[in-house]
Formats: sequence, structure tokens, C-alpha cells
Amino acid sequence: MKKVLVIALFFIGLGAFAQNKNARASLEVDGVCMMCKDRIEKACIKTKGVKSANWNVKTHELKLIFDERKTNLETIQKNIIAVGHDTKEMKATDEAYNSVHACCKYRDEEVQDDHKKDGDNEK
Amino acid sequence: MKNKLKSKTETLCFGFFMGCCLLLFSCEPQTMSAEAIVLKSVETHGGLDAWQAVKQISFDKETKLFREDGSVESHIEQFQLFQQNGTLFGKIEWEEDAVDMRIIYDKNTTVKYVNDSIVEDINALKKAANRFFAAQYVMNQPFALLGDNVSLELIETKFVNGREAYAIAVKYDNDAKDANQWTYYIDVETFDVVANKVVLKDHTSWVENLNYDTSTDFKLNAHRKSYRLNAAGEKLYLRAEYWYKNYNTIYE
Repeated sequence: MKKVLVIALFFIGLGAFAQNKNARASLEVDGVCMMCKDRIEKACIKTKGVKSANWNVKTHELKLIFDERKTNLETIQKNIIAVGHDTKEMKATDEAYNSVHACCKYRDEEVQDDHKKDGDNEK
Repeated sequence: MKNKLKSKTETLCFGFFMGCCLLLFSCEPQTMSAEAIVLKSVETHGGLDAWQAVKQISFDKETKLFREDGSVESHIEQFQLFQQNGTLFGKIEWEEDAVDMRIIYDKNTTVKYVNDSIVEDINALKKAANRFFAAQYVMNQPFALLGDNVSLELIETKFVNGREAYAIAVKYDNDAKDANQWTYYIDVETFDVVANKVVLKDHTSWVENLNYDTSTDFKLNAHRKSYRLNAAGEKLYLRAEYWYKNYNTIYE
């Protein structure tokens, strides 16, 4: 009985420390257009351990696949805000935000409206 | 009456002769052009239109290098990612002797990281760029054989592991005099790319495609073995073994 308990504890411990090579997670990231999408996704992919990044321009959801042994969500978010895009948890500096293209100024309501109109026209 | 019979017999004989000729020529194997063979191979591997519609492809590649005595020289696992339907972008990432290596190619610039430090040595960066483009070249076959800058020539058929294959010599427009000479071997029945040979300045490599991955819309490399050849074209030793898995394609 004692042996079984030790083995069980060993596997529970192993499970707790095991890190997923293909962990999946989602983040909310601000942006308005396909240029934003390209910038956000590339910032993620350039990050060590990130295997896939797919940002949805309508929902603002960023779906990620990454190696947990190499990186984490905090590091990925730091790289996203470094290229000027806010996440739900972190805000880009004004300097980083000002570096994005004029059509990508997602904090500007006029720009947001313009892209909404573009979206309506596409429909 | 006799003349009429003779004429009928002559007509029948002529008809029989023509029939035999037609049968003979139709049974003779038709020689396909190198371009037609490669086109058929590209279709077999998923088609050029579908390939060009892929926004991003990524996969894991495991490489084992062997010395001449059969001992393992190195064993690495890489993650490779390419976006090439606009401006070329990509990443190759791996661990070597517990050190994280990362090559990023973006906007015509190569950046290499060792752990998290940027490498500034120009020779190291040139090597990194070569590594990136070599990986991209392999990943793009056989689709890239239909490129505008490629000349194809059917040189022979040859048996590769019991499969008869067309040998297609491949030349590139911008090839220097001493450029690597590539030959692709395409199965005469299935049109799978079964092997390729590359003659480099100092050695010749022979790479066999042993298994294919069909988890995406394409038939891609899954397991390959690379041999060094001697001057007579005989296998000297196994130089490398490659495994590819976890293919992921994104369209947009």
C-alpha cells in the first residue's frame, strides 16, 4: 500500500512539473486592421517558443500555441506591447503606440469608425 | 471473280497491317517531358494553387547527423515556420547543447539569437541566412521546381529502392559555374518525389524520401535519409536522417 502511494505521488509530482511543448492560450489584443494583424502575429512568432499566433480582427482574440518550457504569456504580451498593441492586461507605451501606422491607431475613435465602415462595405 | 477476291484479301491484309502498327505504337510507353513529369508530381503532392494559397506552414524537424563510422555526430530538434505568400518571413528555432538558438528572417533581414542575445558577427549571420534559405528550399519541394527561374531536363529513369523513377536534372537561371547540381527522382507510377541528388563542390549527397506526411492538404516529407556518395555514385555511408512532424498550415 505504501509503495502504491509513493508511486502515485511520484506521478502526480511529475504531472505538476511537466510543461507542455504545445500549450494553447488566448489573449485579447487591441487592433483594427490587417496590418495590425500582421504586426501582432509577427511579434508573437518572433518570440522564443511561440509556434503559432492567429489574431482575429473582429473579435480581437489572439490564439496562441507555444512551448511552455521556453516562454510564457507574460513574455509574449511584453513583445506585443513593444510593437504598439495593448492587451487586456498590459498597455503599450505612447512611444510604441505612436510607432504604428496611421491607419492602425486603434485608440483613435475615428480610425475605429473608419475600419468599421470598411467592414460594412465589405459585407 | 478471282480478281475481286484478290482485292478483298489485299484490303484485309492492309487493314490488318495498319491495325498492328496502331497497336504497336499505342503500346510503346509515351515519353513525357520533364515539365509534364514535374507538373504531375506537384499535383500528386497537393497542387501548386493550393500550395500558393498557404499563408503559413510550420513543423518540427528532427535531424540526426552521423559520422563515417556510424557514430552520432549531433541530434537536434528544430521548429521551422515560413510565411511566403507575401514578403518572406520565417523562424527556425532549436536547442543545441542546452543553448537556445533562433533565426528570424523578416523584411530581407536575418537576425540570430543565442539564448536571448542577438548575434552580431557577420559570418555567423551569413551562415544563419544560408541555413534559413536551405531549409526553405527543402520545404518548398517539389512545388518550387515549377518556378520561372528553373530549367528541367529528363535525363534517364533509374530504380530507387525498387521503384522506377524519372531522373530530372534541375538548373537555376542564376546558377554560377560551380553551383550545386540538383537531380530529382520522381516515381514513374505515383509521381512521388522519391529521392534527390545534389553534387556539391566537395561531396555528393543522395537523399531518399522514405515516408510522407498527409495530415495537411499536401504530401510532405515525413522521413528522409541522406547518404554520401562516392565518385561512382555508390553509397559510402549514412550521413543524416530526418523526421518531420506536427505540420500546421494556415490559409488566409
